[in-house]
Amino acid sequence: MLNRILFVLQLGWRSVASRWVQTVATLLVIGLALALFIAVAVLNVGVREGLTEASDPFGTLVIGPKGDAQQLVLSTILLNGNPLGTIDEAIYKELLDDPRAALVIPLAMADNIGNARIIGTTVDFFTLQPSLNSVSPFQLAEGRLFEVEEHHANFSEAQEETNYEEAHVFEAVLGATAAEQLGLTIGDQFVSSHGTGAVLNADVHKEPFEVIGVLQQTNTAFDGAVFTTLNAVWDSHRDEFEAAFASKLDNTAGAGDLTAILVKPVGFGEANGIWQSFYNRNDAQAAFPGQELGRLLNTFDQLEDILSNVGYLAALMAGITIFLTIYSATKAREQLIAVMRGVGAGRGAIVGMVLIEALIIAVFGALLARLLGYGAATVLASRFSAQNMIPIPVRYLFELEPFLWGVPIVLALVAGLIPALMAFRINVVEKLFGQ
Amino acid sequence: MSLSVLDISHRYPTSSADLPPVLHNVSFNLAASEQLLLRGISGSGKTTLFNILAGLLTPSSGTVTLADQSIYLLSEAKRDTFRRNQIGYVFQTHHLLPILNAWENVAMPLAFNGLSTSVRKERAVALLAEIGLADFATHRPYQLSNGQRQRVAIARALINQPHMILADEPTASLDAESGESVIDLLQQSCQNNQTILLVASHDPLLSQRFARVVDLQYGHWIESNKVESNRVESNKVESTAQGVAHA
Repeated sequence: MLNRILFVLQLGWRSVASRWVQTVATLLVIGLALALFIAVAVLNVGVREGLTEASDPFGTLVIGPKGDAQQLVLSTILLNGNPLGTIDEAIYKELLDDPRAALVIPLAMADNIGNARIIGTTVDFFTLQPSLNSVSPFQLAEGRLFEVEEHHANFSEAQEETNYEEAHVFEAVLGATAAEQLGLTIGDQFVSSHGTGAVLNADVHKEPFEVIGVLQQTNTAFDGAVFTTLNAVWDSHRDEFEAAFASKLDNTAGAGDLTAILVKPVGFGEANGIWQSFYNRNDAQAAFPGQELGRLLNTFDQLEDILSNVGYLAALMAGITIFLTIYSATKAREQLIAVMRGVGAGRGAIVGMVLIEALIIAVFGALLARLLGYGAATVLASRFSAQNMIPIPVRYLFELEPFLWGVPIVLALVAGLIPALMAFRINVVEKLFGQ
Repeated sequence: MSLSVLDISHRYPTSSADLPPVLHNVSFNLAASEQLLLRGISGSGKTTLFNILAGLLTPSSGTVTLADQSIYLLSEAKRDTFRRNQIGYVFQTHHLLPILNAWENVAMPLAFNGLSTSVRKERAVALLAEIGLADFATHRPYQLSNGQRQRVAIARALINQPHMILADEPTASLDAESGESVIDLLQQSCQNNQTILLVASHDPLLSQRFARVVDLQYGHWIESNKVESNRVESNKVESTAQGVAHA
């Protein structure tokens, strides 16, 4: 019995291989149809996991200017797009005194070097952790963090301390990707240019930054950022005209401005309390990153639904293609099938051969789909990651396997059924002798 | 192991009722190793008779018994198995599967019997060697000449050492030399294996090579010629041909 099955398999395989042009075309149709499912599912999971990991350390609340809350969260946590605008440092000071806030971290996004955004913040930023007992991902790979310093929004205060007309050097800590892309190491100096990465400006600041530390990879958008003190950001915009220009140009922070504040509330109730207190204010808003990212991910889910429906249509077309391939092959081989029957092949063997041909095409189509689907997902994820500095993990989705095997096999069996019945019913005498 | 055909008549379901049957009360017996040439013009019923003998076409009436087995008392599945093991069919054209090489084509009936690849290959290659095609065992049909293909088809019919070989116009698509060689092969192999051989042909030159020659005329079995009379007839054919040439 086994030898008979192996022979029928061999016949099916040889038959499929002998019609390689039709076979390859059919494989591509099946492969592409299923690859669409795979790529969409893998990217949806990857984006979900990537965004979750990238946003995990950044507290429960983001405080920023009024406007689209989603843009506030995306521009603050994922460094995606321009900041909404600026808020006054007074709000930061107010939150520092708020007993409901356990940790308050100011962010002032202003200049850039290359594609790396320069972010003014405090050393508290590097204590951000995804959960209470976890370790902060913002660990130094080498060097040190900048010194804790008093913030002085008023430039004249700073001027008293240091003569900026002489060589004042700002300290900078680089994200892992930024260090790699800029080719900077500890002790290197660089100058920034005004504006965020999205709005480059030829206006170059003259105050140099010195690299004092490089962070480990964190898998957040901040891997591509350059951190410095608030004072450095504000001092580099000490020119009032420049500050005004900057604010109008792309909503980056001028002296005394913040683009956002990250707040880790003491508890859930306190988080709601802070959110409520900002709800009716005109100068700022509070947003829950989880909620905003959830809305964004819902959009991805809707997109996945739409693409999945396209995938179902493509799968149907793949089924029809298998049917046409097997049907035309069976039709063209009627006489040879009659010969096989003539030399003693049973109807079962003939039906088996036809169905096996359909199954071979389906199985190889399914394998090709994995190659195309995961390949496309890897390419798209890496492009997304390169653009957004957020690693999108591409992992093998074992949960898809029953679907990815079930669909092509059922399609093949259904598509092969009519040709198989046709082969089953072949009139040997008529096909061999025309009688 | 004999073949017994009794009162076979056949009328195709699609043929008009006022037409005579394709076969009309055909009866004959053949003993083991007996060889018969069936002659007749196109449409005389030769192929229909062969299909009935092969178990491929159920006759309107009559019985076919081979090796004590009445073929049409078997179920279709058992008839497939019986045909595979007891009957070898050589078609007018070779009908080899293009996706298989020579030995694989020869071994096809063995595969449906469930024999392993190694056993199939050993037996098929040995048989190909016997018929002088040892060097062509792995050639695909398109790499063989017409004569070689037909010899491979004969090997396929012989591989299961059947009780009966049916060869329907086996030389029709071959040149004279290849045709001669194919008939030699068929006759020699059947003689060696004690196999009944029925050859259908309208080639008059074949008549002298068979001890028993039958004419099928509009479905009627007309058996009268024996070896001697065949030779006379063959001579007549030759003198007629010479007369035409002189004229």
